[in-house]
Amino acid sequence: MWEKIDKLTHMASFYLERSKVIEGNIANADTPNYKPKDLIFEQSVEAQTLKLKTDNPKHMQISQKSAREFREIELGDIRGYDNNRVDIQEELAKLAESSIMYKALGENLKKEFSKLKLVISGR
Amino acid sequence: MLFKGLEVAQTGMSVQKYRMDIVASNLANVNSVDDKGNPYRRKIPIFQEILDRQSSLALSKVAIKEVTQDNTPYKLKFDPSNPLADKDGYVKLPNVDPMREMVDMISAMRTYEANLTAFNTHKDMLLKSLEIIKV
Repeated sequence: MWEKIDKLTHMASFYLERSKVIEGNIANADTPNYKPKDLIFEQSVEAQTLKLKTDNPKHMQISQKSAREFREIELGDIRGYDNNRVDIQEELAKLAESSIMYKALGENLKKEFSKLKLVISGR
Repeated sequence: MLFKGLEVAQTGMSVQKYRMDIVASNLANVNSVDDKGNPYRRKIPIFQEILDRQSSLALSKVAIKEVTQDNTPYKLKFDPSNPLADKDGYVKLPNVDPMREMVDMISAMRTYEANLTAFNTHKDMLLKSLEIIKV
């Protein structure tokens, strides 16, 4: 039941984290020798889930997706003065991308919850 | 693939900003000599199309291939009192034409704006598409 919501929140937190990393790059747009960073999805290692003992396959399991499935990377060289490699246009484009994805995921989550609410309360 | 259009427009903006930097360099050095005493040569950026092979559509980004020099002859100015003057009293000045740089500057700005408009339009389209999910 919560799988979809879990997945959506997980993705949303990824984009939230990513926009923080990008804001860090923008803040350091004038720092000499700074290399911009980005966040990527780590090849998902199945988090060790605490298995609950169940006697019915329909019983719920605790889902324990680790929040740290993404990794910060340093980006290769883009030209720059004072050895700074931040390209402000690129960072802002990424920020727009992240915020659009975040909004999309938020809308999807809202939708999921409204479905649940419909089921719980009837019409 | 969803954000390719944004990336393409973004490379357009980056390149035009770099072009603007070069215009500034040319204008700033309109009377300069380099460390060997030779006059400054006008710098010209060369743009290069970068075909994105990942996409099925032939989307092309743009990048600066290299920055070359303008090899047209230097301007000569009669100024015998200048220590860099030759035996006839002429001084070589950089081959920068401020008028041309101004035109380049406006061109860079307009192209930047065009790319920015493309970027924003694309962004608005994506945001609009979120309304599909709302009933």
